[in-house]
Amino acid sequence: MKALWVSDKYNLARFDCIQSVYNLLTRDVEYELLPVCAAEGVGVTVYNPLAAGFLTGKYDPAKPPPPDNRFGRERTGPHEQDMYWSPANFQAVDKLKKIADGHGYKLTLFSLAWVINNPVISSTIVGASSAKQMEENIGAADIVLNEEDKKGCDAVWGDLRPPRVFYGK
Amino acid sequence: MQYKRVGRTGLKISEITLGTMIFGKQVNEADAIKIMDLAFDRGITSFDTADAYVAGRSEEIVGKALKNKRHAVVLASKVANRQGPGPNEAGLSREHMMQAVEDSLRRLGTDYLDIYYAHTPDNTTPVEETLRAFDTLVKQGKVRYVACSNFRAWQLVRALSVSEQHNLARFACIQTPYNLITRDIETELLPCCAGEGVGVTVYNPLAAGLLTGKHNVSAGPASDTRFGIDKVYYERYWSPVNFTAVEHLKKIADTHGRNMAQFALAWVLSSPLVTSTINGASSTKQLEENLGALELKLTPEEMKACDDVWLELRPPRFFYGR
Repeated sequence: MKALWVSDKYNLARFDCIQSVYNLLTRDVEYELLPVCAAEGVGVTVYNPLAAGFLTGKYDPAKPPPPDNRFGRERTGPHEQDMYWSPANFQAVDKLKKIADGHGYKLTLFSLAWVINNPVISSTIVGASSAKQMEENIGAADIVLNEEDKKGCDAVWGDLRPPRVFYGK
Repeated sequence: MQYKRVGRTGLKISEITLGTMIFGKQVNEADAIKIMDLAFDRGITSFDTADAYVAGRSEEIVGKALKNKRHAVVLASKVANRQGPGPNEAGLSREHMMQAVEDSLRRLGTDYLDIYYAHTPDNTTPVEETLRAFDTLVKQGKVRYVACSNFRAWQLVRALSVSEQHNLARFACIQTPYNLITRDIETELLPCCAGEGVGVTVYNPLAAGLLTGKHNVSAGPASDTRFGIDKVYYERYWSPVNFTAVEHLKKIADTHGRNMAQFALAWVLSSPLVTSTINGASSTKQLEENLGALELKLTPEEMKACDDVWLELRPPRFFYGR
């Protein structure tokens, strides 16, 4: 907001969008960032829509992450693990899997669709390690979540971030 | 008692502000005046009320108590909460504000307010209209400083930008909740206020009394306390996780033989980003006790232990800012 103010004041180029993390397990942007972007007409491009792959549901909390993989690789692994690899997140993934299974969707596509469906989001940045992976992920654009699904997702987030007194009204 | 500058304005207020929300409800007029006299004698120069408190009774009582000391105090009231059934009897439109200020001044028996707060944001009124109305009141001499409450950081910054763009009165401070178990303002709002020179006046420093440690989760809320009287506070703070946190905090306070309420107040008072802590009292005895917080200085170990309690309530997750 401060940057937009400065751009307006000095008639400079204005931030057209902000790239931010957003996924079913990481929704803190909803308190301040998404509302200001909606109000000020700033686009939102989302990174980590799959929580660096955690929301594919393919990891096993009982096993360490494979070494050839984002979470297991020596250089990036520890950092990525810090961001997402936690018991609370594994529990959340189990609950989300159940919701996705209810419609026969893979968790990956369901998770992507949840971000894509959000009207405040301009574009969702999805990486792929193979053409096959990309083919699959593009399918997410065709999935539409219903109200019950969204409420289910909200409940999962509510367990990760139990609501407390919020300073805004 | 220390006196702090409100944001980047020249106004100075005592680090403890007397809250008056229950005057006319839990506390009758005679007792309220005794509490206010004691507060003034102890160096409190800042008094906070609102048109919404007990349907204007709080303002009337506060006005009476301050009759002979009006110019020695910083008196704050607020606008936005519903004053009547009509569509223009709430909010931050010029229509409502120009009437609300007259009503508050009349009840307070004064011709000016030191600080006038927008009590909550109003998404049905452009903030420019609100700021123009505030600016008019300042130019008329009815209000000296304007402020806001319960705004998100982005709404505050947007208001600051509009004030600057149109050369209008600027929010001097924001009134916001902050206590040992309610620390969300640290992510966006406090850094924003520090960066923009906006003061921070804190309400609920004792989590509506939960942080006094006197409440019992299994006994339920006592009918003569805020949690028994007002459902809003019960819903806001009365929860098992909060009681667990209070138990942990009690242990920390007990280690050095601290009074729990004083410990909790001292924690808020110690924050360099907080201008003033709004503390109410239902009796002169309670006020005296709370003022003891001014003598307490928390050790680094105690501060770290308090941080750990908060981390249990809000385990860190991947944060979107760097």
